[in-house]
Amino acid sequence: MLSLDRQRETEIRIDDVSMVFGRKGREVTALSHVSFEVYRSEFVSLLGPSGCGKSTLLRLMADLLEPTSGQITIGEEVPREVRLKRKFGIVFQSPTLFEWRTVKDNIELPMEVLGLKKSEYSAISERLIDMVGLTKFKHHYPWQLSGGMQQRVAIARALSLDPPILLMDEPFSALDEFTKEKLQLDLLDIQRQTKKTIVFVTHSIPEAVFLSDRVIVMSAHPGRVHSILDMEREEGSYEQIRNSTRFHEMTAQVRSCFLIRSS
Amino acid sequence: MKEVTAVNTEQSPVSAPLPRIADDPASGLNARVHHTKGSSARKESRSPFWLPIGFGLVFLMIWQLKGFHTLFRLELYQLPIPSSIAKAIQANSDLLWSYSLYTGAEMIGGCLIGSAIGLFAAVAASFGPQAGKGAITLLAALNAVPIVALAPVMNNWFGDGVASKIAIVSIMTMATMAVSAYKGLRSVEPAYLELMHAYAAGRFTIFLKLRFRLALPTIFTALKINMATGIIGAIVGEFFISSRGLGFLLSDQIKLGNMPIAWSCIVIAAVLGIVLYYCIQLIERLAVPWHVAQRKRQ
Repeated sequence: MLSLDRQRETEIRIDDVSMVFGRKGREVTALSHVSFEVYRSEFVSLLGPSGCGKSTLLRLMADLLEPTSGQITIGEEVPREVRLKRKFGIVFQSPTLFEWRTVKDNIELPMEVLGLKKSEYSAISERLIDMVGLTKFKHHYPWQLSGGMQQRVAIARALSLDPPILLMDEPFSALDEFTKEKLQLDLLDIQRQTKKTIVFVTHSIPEAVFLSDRVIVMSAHPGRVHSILDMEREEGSYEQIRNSTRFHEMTAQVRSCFLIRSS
Repeated sequence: MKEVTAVNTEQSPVSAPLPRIADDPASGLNARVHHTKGSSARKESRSPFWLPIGFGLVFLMIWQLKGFHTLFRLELYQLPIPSSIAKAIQANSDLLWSYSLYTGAEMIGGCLIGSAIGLFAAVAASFGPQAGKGAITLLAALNAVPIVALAPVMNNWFGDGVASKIAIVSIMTMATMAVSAYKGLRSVEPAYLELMHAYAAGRFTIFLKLRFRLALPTIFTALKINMATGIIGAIVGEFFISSRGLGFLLSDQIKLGNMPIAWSCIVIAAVLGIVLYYCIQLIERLAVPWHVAQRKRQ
């Protein structure tokens, strides 16, 4: 249990958060009394079926929504302060690239919005382009790239202001299996290099098990935390890890959370 | 990317013209599976270049050989043949040129003023969509005012010169621009707005970097429609009260039964419309090269 031994410093604290959508009389409870913590430099997955509120939870952390009740603190601050200080990067399921901007210009968008000068950020974007392996494509437009490449651009853009936290909302779920595997490995590499805290929303059990230090299993209607499971990161190639007994045990353990619910 | 290239080579035996793809300068750099599709799409878009010209020539030939006269039982004084229209244009070239400039100025002036007002209204409305939507609907009601009602009123307000025609064209064009530009400015996918919010972008930054760029294609479409509307507005405006311009000459010469000159006005108005349409098309190509409709395989 490597992650347990590590010095745990809380980065994100979700404290009894509930979220209700809709007007009076027609309310839909998306989240009901959710509490957990995310530690610094940790890779946490929010895993669950559709309707479990995992995306809502991510949007609450990003201050794109406000909780009906409960509190979220990131470091010592509320999400709004964190957002205004641009301390997180965000990646959505769709790459949300600006079609009129080249790869490089897309990656530079957050720095441009911040008001930095071109001379200051050009080197940063060049480095990020190299990091996500798009050096040859930096002057291409999004429509000239494959889906996987577009999502790489989105990841590079999320990293451009070097935020301590990366929020990812099913970033690989629209990609084919081959591209997905490659990007999963690349993301783990990026996390090893940059030590970011990553909150990763997914509905794929193997993906959550493969990537995460911890998996937060959520159940739906209303959305709440079912259980929090510690994962073990193994060394080895993608094939070795995926075929290992330990990987299958962990996958089975996660899957059993859902089996209990349905029986 | 490695995985994409692999798919490409796998597919190449199936897709027929392999050497052509290899010749394509883009395929080396831009490893996309779509490339076999791309080269055929390019062939399609290239070939019809001469087609409209060919159709036009055939059309003129049938006209010149009195095909339409036989078909619709028309006499030569009712529908002059192209050669006599060309002669009339030649004989009155100085007058027609100065009248074209006069009417052209009315329509371009009116079109630009109307479109600018419409665009301004759309931008203002996009910043306060709750009140803005109502204002745009009100402006759209202007579209329902018929030009035959509008023209005499404007002539009454602004006299029989250029000003009244510019006013007519402005009123006719502002609603189209306001409605389409507003739609373009407001139709942003939520994820893009969330992205901008996540980077703490202000409303003005979102407008400048996102909304306005997304609205450009619809703005250009409105401009193109407005140019065509502008010609109608200027010419019909001149029908009522004026002493100069293509519309004045047209109605004057029809009354006199001088059909070749009347038809030369019609031809010049059509040419004016086509030229202005392509001018805007050209500007659009330069301003929004990224849009789907403008994309060329590099």
